[in-house]
Amino acid sequence: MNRKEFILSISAVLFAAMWPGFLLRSARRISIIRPPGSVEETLFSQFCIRCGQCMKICPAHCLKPVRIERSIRDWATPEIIPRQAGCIRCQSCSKVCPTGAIRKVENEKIKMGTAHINRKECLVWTHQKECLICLEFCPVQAIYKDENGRPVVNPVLCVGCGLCEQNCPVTTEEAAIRVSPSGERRFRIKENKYC
Amino acid sequence: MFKIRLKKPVLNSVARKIFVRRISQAASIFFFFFLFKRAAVFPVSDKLPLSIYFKMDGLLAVAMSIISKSFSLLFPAIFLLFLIMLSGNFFCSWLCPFGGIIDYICALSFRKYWKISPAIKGLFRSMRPWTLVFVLTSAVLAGFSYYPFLGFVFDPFVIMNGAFIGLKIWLVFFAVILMASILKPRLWCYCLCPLGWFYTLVGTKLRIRKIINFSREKVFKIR
Repeated sequence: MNRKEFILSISAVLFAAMWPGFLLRSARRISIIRPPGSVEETLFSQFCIRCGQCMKICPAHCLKPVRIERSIRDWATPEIIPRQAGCIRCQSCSKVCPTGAIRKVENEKIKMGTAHINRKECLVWTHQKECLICLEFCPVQAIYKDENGRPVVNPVLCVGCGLCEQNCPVTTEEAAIRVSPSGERRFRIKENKYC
Repeated sequence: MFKIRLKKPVLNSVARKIFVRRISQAASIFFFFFLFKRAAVFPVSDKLPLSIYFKMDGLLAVAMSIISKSFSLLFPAIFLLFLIMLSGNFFCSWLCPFGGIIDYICALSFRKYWKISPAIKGLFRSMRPWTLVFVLTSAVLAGFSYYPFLGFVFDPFVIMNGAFIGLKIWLVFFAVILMASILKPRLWCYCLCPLGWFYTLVGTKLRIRKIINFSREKVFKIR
């Protein structure tokens, strides 16, 4: 390889390395519910090597790969889809994660998101029927009945496991109770703590 | 009438080395699959090093340390890098389970390999350093590492793991690599694998020094 070829090659490689990297880094972020103990979202897609170990071990089968049409950057990384299956907080995923994208944290500190009740869809709120299945399935008693017997979520206690959404009997595509990643806790690498 | 010629059962040093190497590769493949199987059994064992192959991946550790600006991830890989620095890149030919599978498939398949012209061979050879540059510069310059993102192309353990879990793209890529290896042994290793090139780079400097010292001693002895 002569000097000209070397300079051309290195410029081509640097160009190919830089621009898609910038584009991917600055791509629009979508809201994803990550497994408990995940590192912060800006680093998660770069820490996760898409090995699939976490999805393989998950006993609740709640971890699914992010589809490429949803996000190229987060493609094939694990996400929780609560409507399909909720997290049982066993933290097996953290034990098998080879790169530390998912880390072991104290069970009491886990918070993957917060559940919200869609009052228009809820059988109790709209149709005054007796349901309260979400209340029965909640493992942390974050859902309680108000004075009229309607379910209400306590966002402080809710861990965002999604068991309520999974078991919600509303037959529409979206459940009457939905979990979003708001209020989630993540493992901050620089501070080395889960907050 | 008939002369019976008995082959000498004694292996020469090269054949013996290849034999030991094959055993080492078989042990590594077995260990990889043992860990792969154990990593799917609930509850997860705390005693077994389930992700030891990924943690030994020096390039992955370096790429992630650059991105996260923390060096805690480097420690498990440092031991292997230290050994490679001392004794050259033994990983690819002795320990890599992916390389082992490729070697076994090549050994079992027909022996008419693809004859590549020197120009294409040179092109293939020159690709590997660039993949390493590509993987590391993206982490430094753009703050986005392609190594985990394109692990299904670049990382031998990710390819194997994904393929055996049954992820489609990983499986296709794994099959393509194996097919290519039947045509030309270890084609992927020589052309693309940045990890192999990284280990070769790490292991080269001291090894060259060792060779130079050895040849100097020889020269002095002759004198």
